[in-house]
Amino acid sequence: MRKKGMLLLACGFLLLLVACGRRRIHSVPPGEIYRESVSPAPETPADEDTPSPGLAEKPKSPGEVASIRLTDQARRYLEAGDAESAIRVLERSVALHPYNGEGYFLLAEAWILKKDPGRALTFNRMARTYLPKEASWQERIQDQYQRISALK
Amino acid sequence: MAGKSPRGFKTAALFTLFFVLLAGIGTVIYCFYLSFEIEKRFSGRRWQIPSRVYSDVTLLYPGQRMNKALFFSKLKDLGYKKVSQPPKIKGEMRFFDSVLSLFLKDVQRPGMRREGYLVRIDLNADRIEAIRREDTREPLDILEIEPEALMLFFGDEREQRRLVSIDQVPEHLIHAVLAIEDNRFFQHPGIDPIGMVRALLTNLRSGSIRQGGSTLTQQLAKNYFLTPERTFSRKIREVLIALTMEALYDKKTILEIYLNEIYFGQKGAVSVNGIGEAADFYFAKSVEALSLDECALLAGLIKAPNRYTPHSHPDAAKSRRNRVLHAMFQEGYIDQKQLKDAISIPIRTAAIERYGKRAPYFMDYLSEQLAHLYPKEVLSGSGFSIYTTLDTQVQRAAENALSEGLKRLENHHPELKRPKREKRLQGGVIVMHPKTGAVLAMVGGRDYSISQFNRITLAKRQPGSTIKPFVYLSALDRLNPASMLSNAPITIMVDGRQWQPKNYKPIYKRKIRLKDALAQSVNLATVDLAMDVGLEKVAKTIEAFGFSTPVEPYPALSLGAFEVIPLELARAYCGFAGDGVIPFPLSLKDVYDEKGTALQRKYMTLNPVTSPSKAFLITSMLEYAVTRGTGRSLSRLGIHFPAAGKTGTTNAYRDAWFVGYTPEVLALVWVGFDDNTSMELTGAEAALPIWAELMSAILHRISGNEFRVPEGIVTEVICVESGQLALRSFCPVVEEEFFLKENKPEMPCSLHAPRFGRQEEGR
Repeated sequence: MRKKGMLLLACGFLLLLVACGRRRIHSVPPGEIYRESVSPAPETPADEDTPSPGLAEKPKSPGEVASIRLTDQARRYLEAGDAESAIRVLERSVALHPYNGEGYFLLAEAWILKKDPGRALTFNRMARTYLPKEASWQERIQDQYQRISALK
Repeated sequence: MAGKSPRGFKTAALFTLFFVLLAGIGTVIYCFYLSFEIEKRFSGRRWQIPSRVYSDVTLLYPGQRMNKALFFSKLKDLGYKKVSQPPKIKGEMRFFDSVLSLFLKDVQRPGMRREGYLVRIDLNADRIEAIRREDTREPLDILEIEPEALMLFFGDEREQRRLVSIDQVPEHLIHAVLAIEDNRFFQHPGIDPIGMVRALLTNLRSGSIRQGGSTLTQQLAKNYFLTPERTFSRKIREVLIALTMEALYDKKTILEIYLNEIYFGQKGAVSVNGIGEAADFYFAKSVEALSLDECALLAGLIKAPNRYTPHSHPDAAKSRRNRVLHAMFQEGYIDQKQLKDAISIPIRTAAIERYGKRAPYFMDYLSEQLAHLYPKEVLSGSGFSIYTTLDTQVQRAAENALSEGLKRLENHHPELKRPKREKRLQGGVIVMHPKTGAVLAMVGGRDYSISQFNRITLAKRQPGSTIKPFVYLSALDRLNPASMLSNAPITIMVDGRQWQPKNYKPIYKRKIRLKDALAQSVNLATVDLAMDVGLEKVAKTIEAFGFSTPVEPYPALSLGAFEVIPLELARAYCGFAGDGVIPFPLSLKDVYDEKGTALQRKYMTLNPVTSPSKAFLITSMLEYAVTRGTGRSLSRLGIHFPAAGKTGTTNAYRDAWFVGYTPEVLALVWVGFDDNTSMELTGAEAALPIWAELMSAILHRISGNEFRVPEGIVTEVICVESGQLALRSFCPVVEEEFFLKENKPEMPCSLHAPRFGRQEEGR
């Protein structure tokens, strides 16, 4: 009886092992190519309510934070119509954080103010490269592009 | 006889009258002449003021890393003085218990104004934790440290002054000067007979010359129009000039010219003239901010600036200052309490800010650009303020790294030593911001005093393997980082002659992955790729990155067997670091005239040369090159932040290169002999350690951020051996790899795919 019991237990254990093995093989089959490859720059869904989407999601480094402060300062210069000061501040801002899309966007605005469509267009392109793909930003970039084209 | 006498007297009197009249007319004519001369001088530029070249401002912000040694050196060069007690006056600093207390100086320069205030910077090891303005207790997000004066464009006179208006000058200063130099200034007509008699009596009584009889106007006439010799005729001219000046100008104008003209001492080889420069030199303040005791000290200096200088003779300076204060009290300018308080103040001065030519190769490069904009005499006389992109901390780090690196090489390889200094092993370093194009530092050679040849801007050297990333870039439309290249020996006919490229060291694989070929700088695979892509295309790609030297489509082009200017090579690499755009290298930013009007502004100018995704792909392969390829020793040398780079070694080891970058800073290092002698050292051995030392020192410029992955890039897991899509459980070594969205591997690994079952179907 005892021997039978032991045998049954062993069989059960074996069956369990096979089942587990099958499940594993079934879920990750050998010879498959790796499917988890994704584009590391996924498009962010449009969100009209996002207040300041210039520099996105992940925690910001100190240089990025300082860069945003300078961008804010430059925006105030632009609002006051002082393109020269805005450009100098924005050049510092993008030096601290070279991927600051809003910085390039405002640089383009400053050059529009200075009526230099060539430079404005360069920075409009840079803004397109670095700003998130949100509809709100894309519209603004497109609108800026049209204003630059009208300057030419 | 008696009858003749009155006639003779009359004749004599007439003659005398005639001569007096003649002399009078002559004097009047001479005074007219002088008035023209004076007006001519005063209506034009009154002084030749050298233009001043400044570094860029330094930004500090919480969370930023800081190299304390470099930063404190910068503050010292700016004239900040270390004190052991909390700073009380502008220009003092104290570092105690991880807190830097800095009493910022006033900054009053064309295009730049700031009133000094006390700021507290909390540090945690090498990181700034917080910045706070002490007077308002307000935390600061960003603090600007003023630029350093780097150079003065002198003409014939080595004088330095900054002009002030009489309305800026504090009343105390005017009173101090009047009390000690000419207390009847507002009463006399330019000369002061009463003052002269009083001075004579004082001097006779004391038996020595204790008081001068010259008025301020006479002193001005002496300084401005006359030579220093003491002759009777010169004294007469001095008096006439003084009288003429008083007739032409009001007292206020004369006093203003005097205060801007007068000599106040010596700063090395340069003389300090005028109250504006003196206030900055002695107290690091603008003239408006001078206190009573400081005004008295400066007024006391006029008599003998070098005898009473507070920098080297504080006791003499103090006693002279107190004498001025007493004179002010006697004249009724200050009361008893003011006198008592001012006398009790110890002598305190700012440290001497360094002048002289710093970053000399950069300055030569800048001067060349300025020479195209302004004639020499304008630069040496118009008092322009010239702002540049130079970061003095990076410059110092680059100079140190190059100097130490070359010494180290000579010590480890004595065969590199040369007895003649001008034949010694040379090097060059340039540091740029890859996006803005700002030149942050430039070292064009080992020792400027020995050789002024700028090896960064003027030398033409073969780039060797540093050109390979551009070759690989030209292939990215068809090939990808996982493509396999041939490493088989190859013979190419060039102009009827056989050319057989060789690898630097034997690599036995017949096939090598593109990414590994670049990382390990494999010559055979690179030539294979270049021939496959087409030499014309390779040459065009290289040319697009802005090289001014000829790029001919020869097979050896792919191995860097042509000449480049190092500055242009650095700029070309900015294209990879900067997502496909190359910047115009900026060294000059702004030029302002004395009144603060901007005369020139240079802006960040970008030129797209490739797509952001292709640039990123090269960057990611160059990151691999510094972790797994020829640059892997960087981690041993302390580089633990994301960086990309490429070594370069030319034929017969004539040139050793390393060009490396982070998202925010790019540095190029070249090492070699001017006469092209072989060094028997590779770029990894000679140039890379210098780059590592430099980058480890400029913590404030390095964020440690990863390179951003742009749109159009995807990742795939590939089999390292085949370069195709990896098969789970079959491919022994797999790696995740970046690809262009439109050019990624599509086929599963054919090398390790089993020959039965569903795997054969592929994807």
